Amino acid sequence: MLEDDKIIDLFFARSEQAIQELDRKYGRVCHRLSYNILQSWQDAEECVGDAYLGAWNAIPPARPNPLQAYICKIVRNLSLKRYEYKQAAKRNSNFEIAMQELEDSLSAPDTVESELEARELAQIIEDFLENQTKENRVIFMRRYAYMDSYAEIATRVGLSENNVAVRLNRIRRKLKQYLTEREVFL
Amino acid sequence: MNTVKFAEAMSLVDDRYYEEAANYQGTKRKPVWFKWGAMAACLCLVLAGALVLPRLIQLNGTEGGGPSNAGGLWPGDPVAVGTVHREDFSPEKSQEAALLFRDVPGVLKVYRTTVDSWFLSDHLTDYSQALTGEAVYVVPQYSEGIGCPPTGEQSYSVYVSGEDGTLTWGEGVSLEEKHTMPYALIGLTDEIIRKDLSGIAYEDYIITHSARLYAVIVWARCPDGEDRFVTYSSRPEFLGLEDHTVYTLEELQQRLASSSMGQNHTNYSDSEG
Repeated sequence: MLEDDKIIDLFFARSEQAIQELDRKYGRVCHRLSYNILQSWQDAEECVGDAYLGAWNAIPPARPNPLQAYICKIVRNLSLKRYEYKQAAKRNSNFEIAMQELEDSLSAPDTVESELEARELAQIIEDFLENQTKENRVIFMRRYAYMDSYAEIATRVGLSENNVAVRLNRIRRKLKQYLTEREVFL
Repeated sequence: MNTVKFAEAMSLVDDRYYEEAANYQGTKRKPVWFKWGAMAACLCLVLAGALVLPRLIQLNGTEGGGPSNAGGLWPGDPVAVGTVHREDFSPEKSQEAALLFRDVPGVLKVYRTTVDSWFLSDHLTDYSQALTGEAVYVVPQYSEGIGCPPTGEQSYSVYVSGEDGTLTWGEGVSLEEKHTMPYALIGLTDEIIRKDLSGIAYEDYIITHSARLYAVIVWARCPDGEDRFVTYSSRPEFLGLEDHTVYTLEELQQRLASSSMGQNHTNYSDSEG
């Protein structure tokens, strides 16, 4: 498979091979990410296709580095948008289940909701992640960014499914404490 | 509570966390059965040795000392494809599949080919050289899965079998595989296959697909010991084949090897993409 730099060069040369190489290298992870949110291969395929188109339009002038995170984020955003659109019709996606898990960590019934911007919250989450072990960071990201199932995470990190569930429970408790200490109430 | 805002924020988390999570590979856990499986394998090895060695000794002691024509024990035996490991590839649906798809017509059991270079092999004597043991069920018209409304004739879904035999819609099918399932599967039925095979005597057939060749290849077992093949391809001209035509293995291999696909053959693998 081509190096990211070479794929970007193909984008800059306006070669359609860029899309093929991008799909070959990251297509699987993109489709899986989208499917985890949407629970539909058809919708996932369309979202990933739209993401490729988005990348085609953005590169150049953008020269994303790392490319994988860049394309995954586009896929994630498009999939979430489509999910919201289809929310009434679809239930029980990995996204919904993962977000339900977080409700306890994020809710603060007796407080006024803050006007915290998503970007500020992202910074706080990053700070929180910095204080976690690498393994815990990966587990958290795989669950709440890539929307992997417990079984998928267990396979990736080499833990049992039960162990992953326990770890995530602890991480969520820590996150709740971390957010509370910083008076972040969502 | 605002999980939407949290989800939005997660999209803005720095790329390095995405990269770290994408590239992380922990220590592989050995499955529970690994230890027992290893012990069972050792036991099988011992038993196989005990059974095969006496036969080898006996054969070497026969007049002329030549190879036996009875099976594939000796290299170079004239063993037709389909005689070795053929029993591992059955056209019959599993019990779970028969139950799950009892009200759904036209479900096909499809095996996947291994590396695409199988057709270039000079010594293709064994089914497992060309096919993976992994069968999936292609369910026409139910791309959202059975239980959901049909989605039209131009669609299908794929069910895969778990280790315990349970069938799951979509899950477990890697996207690359799913996306390279040949379009020729759309509209393909057992009736069409049986019609195409009507000119020859055959016992049964299995359906396979090659992601690399982008084709469905039906392998028919024939009483004369030589398998016949019918192909259904999305790009027949690319393969130098004519759909709905019965080929012998030799004919199929020759055509595929001389096609643009064969000429431009790389080490790309269907199953180990």
